[in-house]
Amino acid sequence: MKKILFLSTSLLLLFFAFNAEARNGIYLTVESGYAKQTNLPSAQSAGALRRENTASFPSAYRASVGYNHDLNCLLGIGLNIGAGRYGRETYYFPGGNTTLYTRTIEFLGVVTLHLRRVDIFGKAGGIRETVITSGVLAQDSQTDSRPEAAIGAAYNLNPHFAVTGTYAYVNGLSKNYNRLTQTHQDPNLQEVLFGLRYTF
Amino acid sequence: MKKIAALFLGVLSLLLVNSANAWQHEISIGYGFGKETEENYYNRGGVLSAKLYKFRPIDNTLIVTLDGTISHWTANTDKNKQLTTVALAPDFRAYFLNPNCFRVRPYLGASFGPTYLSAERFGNRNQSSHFVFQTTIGGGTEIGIDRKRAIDLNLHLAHYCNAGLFRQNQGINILYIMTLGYQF
Repeated sequence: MKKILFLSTSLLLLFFAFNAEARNGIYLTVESGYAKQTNLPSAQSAGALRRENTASFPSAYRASVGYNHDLNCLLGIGLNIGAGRYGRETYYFPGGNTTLYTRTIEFLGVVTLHLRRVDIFGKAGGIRETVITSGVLAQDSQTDSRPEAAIGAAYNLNPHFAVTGTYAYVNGLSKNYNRLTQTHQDPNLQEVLFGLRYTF
Repeated sequence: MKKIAALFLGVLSLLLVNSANAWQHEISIGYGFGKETEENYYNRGGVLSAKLYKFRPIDNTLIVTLDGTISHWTANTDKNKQLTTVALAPDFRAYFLNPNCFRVRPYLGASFGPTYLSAERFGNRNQSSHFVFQTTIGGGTEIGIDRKRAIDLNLHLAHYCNAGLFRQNQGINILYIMTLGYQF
């Protein structure tokens, strides 16, 4: 049964690959969507009256440049460098508010599977994550390196343009986030992005 | 109207004149400057680099070369003002379009490789070692003179760090490095 399943899956992938739109080259991507900063301190631990996600939709913006090199008609590898802005969280204090959002510069390796007009891709790498605060408890921004992983798909409208959908996760590498108090640690990020890709 | 048409055709012919991307080596000089990240002083200096070997193209828009670079930097601080670097690194160059078909060939590039630092400290930054890695990211354009020769204009940034191999890894950054190269 396992052999039949493996064989039929392989044959199906080969069938799709015969019509795959493989393409080497530089590409540009602009994306927008929803992002949430998690692992933030509670309002109580920050000494605030309450905490609220005040991001309006879209709460995430990302632009990137990348290169894809096709190893064969089915598989491509490459690099993607992007910059993004994610989320918005507000803490309400008696004397005013403090707002946080995250800015990133991302360096990701990409593996792409070409299936007819659809590309399935996975990304992994490191980012430079900067948490920006403003308001009554505003502090100097500090940047740290953090890991990121993403998975997504692109539908090729033609050899140049494709629409994309991506889910990405950034690990802030901290269990107890106390950005507003003493210890600098970063939030986790969860992103759902939709965008447009142009390949030269 | 005629002048506009003539200008358009002239620019088009400059771009599209068949110019094979047949250069094998490059030598370039450059000047770099920029504020050190998260500091209040500036770094500046000069760069001399060469493309020592050009490997077979990876695909129709991606090449890799072995580059050697010598740089001398000065920091606008009271101490640790001078730094000389010697680097050897593979450089990946991705062209927007097939370089064999165009005279003007814009590209993006990146390199990563081992580097020797003449001093462990530069400005307010401490690297704990004379051994670091140099990472460069940037872009530019080649302008073909004939089938084998071209001019290369480039803008990139350079980042020096030891990737956490040693105790201190504060990183040194030169944000804007402009180079002019001759390919042959």
